[in-house]
Amino acid sequence: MLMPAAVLIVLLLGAIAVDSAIVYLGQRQAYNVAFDAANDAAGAGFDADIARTTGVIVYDPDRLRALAADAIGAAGVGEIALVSATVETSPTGEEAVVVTVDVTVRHLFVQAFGQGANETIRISARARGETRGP
Amino acid sequence: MTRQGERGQVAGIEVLPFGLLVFIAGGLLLVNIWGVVDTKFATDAAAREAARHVVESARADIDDAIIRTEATMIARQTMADHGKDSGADVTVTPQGPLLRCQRIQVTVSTEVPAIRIPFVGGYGSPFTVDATHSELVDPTRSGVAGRADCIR
Repeated sequence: MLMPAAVLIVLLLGAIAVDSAIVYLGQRQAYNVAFDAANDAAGAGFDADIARTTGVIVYDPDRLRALAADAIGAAGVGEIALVSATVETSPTGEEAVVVTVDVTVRHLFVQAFGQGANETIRISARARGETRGP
Repeated sequence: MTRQGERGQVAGIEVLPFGLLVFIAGGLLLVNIWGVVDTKFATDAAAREAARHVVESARADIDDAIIRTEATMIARQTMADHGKDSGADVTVTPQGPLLRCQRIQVTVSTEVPAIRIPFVGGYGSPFTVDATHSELVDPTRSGVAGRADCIR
């Protein structure tokens, strides 16, 4: 009985390893895409006139969302959906663009053990813009 | 009490090599999974570094071909730094001069052998692992050609 049990354990561990790798890669990919989107939005989603005249960065929420959506679309990963692109203020008073995405990863083996076939993971990335003189 | 003989004592021994093979196959599977994950990390990093180089180096007075060549070299160097010496394919799009607000997309792809045995090498038909990173050419940096249409 030991050998069949051992074989089953190896198969089970292998299945868990494969599914964990899939989830981890999906998570990493979503983080990269969210970070790209936040970076693009922080770099271009502000009011240029105000920045030029006062040096203060004021973000436009609609532009942030549009830029983030463009960046996510350019990534070409169908399983990633934009949830929000907002401006958040940190405890130190600094404003940053926070892009949140949902990524759906598909399990390969774990569904055989009663788990769901898909798992949705929410990832947020943050980027901050600053003005510098010439 | 009489001895009944030893027939049947080794019944099932033929399963032992089979079990061992399953363990070996399982070990190989884990090694290969890690190989793919590791390669994915490397291609991600290479694409990011190359794209960052393009968007931060774009200038009207520098030939875009030079920047693209440098980006390709940086991507391959990043792959090498991750221990991936096989030549990676690097694609920087779009072609043409680098303009303000232009979306630059860098794709790095490389091949991973289907079966990789530690200290021996890889076997089987390779499959491709790739990563894409996209970024806007900095809209507000001086010296870049084009209009900053992506900001208002």
